[in-house]
Amino acid sequence: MGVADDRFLQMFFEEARELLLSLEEGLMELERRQGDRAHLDKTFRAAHSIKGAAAMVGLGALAEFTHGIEAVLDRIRSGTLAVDSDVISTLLDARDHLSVAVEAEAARSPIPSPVELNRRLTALLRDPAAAPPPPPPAAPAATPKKIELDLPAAEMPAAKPPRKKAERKPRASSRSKKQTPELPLPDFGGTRSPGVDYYRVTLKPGADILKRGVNLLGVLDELRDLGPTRIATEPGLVPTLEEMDPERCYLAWTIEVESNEPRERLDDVFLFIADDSTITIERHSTSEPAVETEVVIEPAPEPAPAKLAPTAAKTPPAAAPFPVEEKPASKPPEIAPPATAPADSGKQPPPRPPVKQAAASPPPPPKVPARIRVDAGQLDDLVGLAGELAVISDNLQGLREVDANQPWVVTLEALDRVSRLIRDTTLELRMVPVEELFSRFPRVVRDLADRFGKEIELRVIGQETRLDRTIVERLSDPMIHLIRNAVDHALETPEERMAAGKPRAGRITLWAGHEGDRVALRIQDDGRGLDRDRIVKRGIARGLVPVGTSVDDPRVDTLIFEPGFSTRDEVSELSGRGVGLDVVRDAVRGLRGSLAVESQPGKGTSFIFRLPLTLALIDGLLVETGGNRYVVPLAQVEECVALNGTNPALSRGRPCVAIRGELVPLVQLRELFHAEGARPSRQELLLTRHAGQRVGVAVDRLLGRVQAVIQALGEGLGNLNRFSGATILGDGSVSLILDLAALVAESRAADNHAH
Amino acid sequence: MGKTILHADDSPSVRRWVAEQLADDELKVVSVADGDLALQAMQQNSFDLLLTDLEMPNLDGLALADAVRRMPEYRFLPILILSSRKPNEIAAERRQPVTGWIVKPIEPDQLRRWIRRSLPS
Repeated sequence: MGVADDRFLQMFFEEARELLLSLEEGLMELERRQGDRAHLDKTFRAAHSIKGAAAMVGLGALAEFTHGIEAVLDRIRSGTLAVDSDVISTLLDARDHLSVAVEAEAARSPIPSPVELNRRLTALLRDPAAAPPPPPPAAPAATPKKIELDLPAAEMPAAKPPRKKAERKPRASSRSKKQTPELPLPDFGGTRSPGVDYYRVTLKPGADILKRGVNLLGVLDELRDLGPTRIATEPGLVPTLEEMDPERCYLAWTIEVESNEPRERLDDVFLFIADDSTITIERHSTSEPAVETEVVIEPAPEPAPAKLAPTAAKTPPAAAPFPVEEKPASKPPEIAPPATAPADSGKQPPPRPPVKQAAASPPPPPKVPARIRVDAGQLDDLVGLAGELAVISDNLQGLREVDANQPWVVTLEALDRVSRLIRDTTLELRMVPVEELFSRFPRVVRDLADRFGKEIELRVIGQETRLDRTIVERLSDPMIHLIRNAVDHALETPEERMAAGKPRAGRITLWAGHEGDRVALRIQDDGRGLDRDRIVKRGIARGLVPVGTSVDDPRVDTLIFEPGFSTRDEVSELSGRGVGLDVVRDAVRGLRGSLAVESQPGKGTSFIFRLPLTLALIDGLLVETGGNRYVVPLAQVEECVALNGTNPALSRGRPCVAIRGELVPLVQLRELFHAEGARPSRQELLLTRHAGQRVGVAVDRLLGRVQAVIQALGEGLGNLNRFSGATILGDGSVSLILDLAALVAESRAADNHAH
Repeated sequence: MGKTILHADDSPSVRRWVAEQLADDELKVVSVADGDLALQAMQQNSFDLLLTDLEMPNLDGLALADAVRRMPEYRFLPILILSSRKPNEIAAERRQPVTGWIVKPIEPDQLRRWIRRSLPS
């Protein structure tokens, strides 16, 4: 692609990113899955595809670097290079560089080729003396040999007088192809343009060339494009009808082309047929008598000619006019196209295995379903519309009760069913297997284990579990955080583990599965477990738990999620837990999920994420305040209690209510939204948790539970944190979705400001 | 005259690039992502030329070429390989069914030329 077209480049970058992931996965597994040919092929293909696509879009440097990776993988494939962890590390490093290089190209600031990495890759390509000879199966006989001859003018084949036809009568089927073809070499006479060089070409195609689908007329046409052409052939080479096999090519041509094009240009013309044809090319200069001759010989022995069917009754398809065709650069219509020679089913070559068998000879790899890339924004729009459709259909269902609408009942029911199906299917489109998330972790674990001198075995279970695309994307960092903690701190060194009677290699298990209507992800290690003594002491010191709290108190575990509970310096060297876990927990809450921990001393720790199946749907409470209706995500509400009209107490200047003996700060939604009118005597209090503390949000009324399709807010409202979106209610009205966490944060900030 | 070629390549960007370079009033390009799909397409429809990558999932380019060549209606079909590998990297007997070999990368003009020349008139 001469001019790098931006569209192809963008497409390439996208594709390369995917292939790089697949290459990384492949490399990670390479050591473990030795001998798994399909896996190796897949890995090789990832590198190969990046190279090919990079070359096509004009990113030559990328292609060249990728070629190194591909070549190493190819050596592994051919068995000349054994896979060990050094090889894998080099390949992984190369992959990483490639990834950086791709992004650099995408940012239009290419980076130089890494000398050291290239050296390492090249080292893997060099043959150690002990290695078995590389077996690339390219048979030497297949490589066309090019011999350049400087023939004196006297020996020019062209100078030989044309022989008489009778001397070379048509024994075409018995002639050895190794011989220079005995072609008629007609003297084309004085028709050449003065001052223009000409080439004299003899072309004797292999007998089976038509069976490869070669269009010989295309070759002749190509020569005609180079300049005025004279073409001669020898129909006497074609055997009689009884002996002739119409699928074989018996003909040979002598061609003169007037052209000043370089010889490479002519070689190029014969590219597809050089392998099984005998071709000579001589350049004749009209100004000087010197002749360069190049002979391209196909030395492969000609297969024994197929037994000719005596009943072959068709006219020879390639009966070309003889001796001379004097029409420069125009196509002779009289020549029947050899490539379309009629196939006579009676004379097919010996029976071959059926196609199906050929296709099935490699073990059938698992079918990958066809996929289409879709713009994420469009998908979200579609989800919104599908939700709306379901709501509209819901509203119409009321019509079924009206007697006059009886004829429409069936249609209404069908509408209801189909619109729900559409909604559910579109929601399903947003789901991706957790595998997309988990597949990054083997690499992370490997790198970390290397760095910290640990031996770790990673197990992954349930990676086919599907989860909302957004969740999968946003969960990556929190999970890596926890995995890093597990490798760095929770798992012991091999020596410590042996001393404790555990297997040498620590184990980390990633597990995904359904728990009710939620998806649970578990990161489990078999390390030393939480150091509860230490955690309790710190908790007491920071006033987070009362003095005298028992080590077995269930609250102890949750302490590690408190903001700033521990600092790296103090705790990581002891328990290894608590470094920024509040950040992890907040990220999970942002996805309407929760994070829990389970731990047994000496046996290990599990972190459990519980997440909604989808972010597009929300289970909510429909509430009313000041005459307006709002949806509150159910996941944010721990409890609802009645709030009777007593005035709230004040604690530290903020309104509070007593809930079962505990003072809970109170946020009045009415006040926050400046609702008019008098507060009803009885309100409802939604209890939520903010920064580890219970907070109550007072609303006027609870209307019920709803399942809502979340619609993004337009730009006008998008900046208001207190609303996380909007939804359409069953009656067609629009309701805003409240984000209790943001509301509480907002109101507390206002409070602090006021006091 | 209207010819149809089938292009098989597992890389979407290569597929798109080839389609954009080749397709015009006289040439229709059908693109598929692997050898199996190519074989299915060849069985269901009629094509004038097959252009295929070598390394593909499910069925690679040479196995595809071999299978296609054995279908009676495609005994003389032009089958071109479009690959970054060179023909001499592949054993001659495996190349038997192949009509021609185009090595990636290739200039659009050259690609068009080879295709045009290989198509039966």
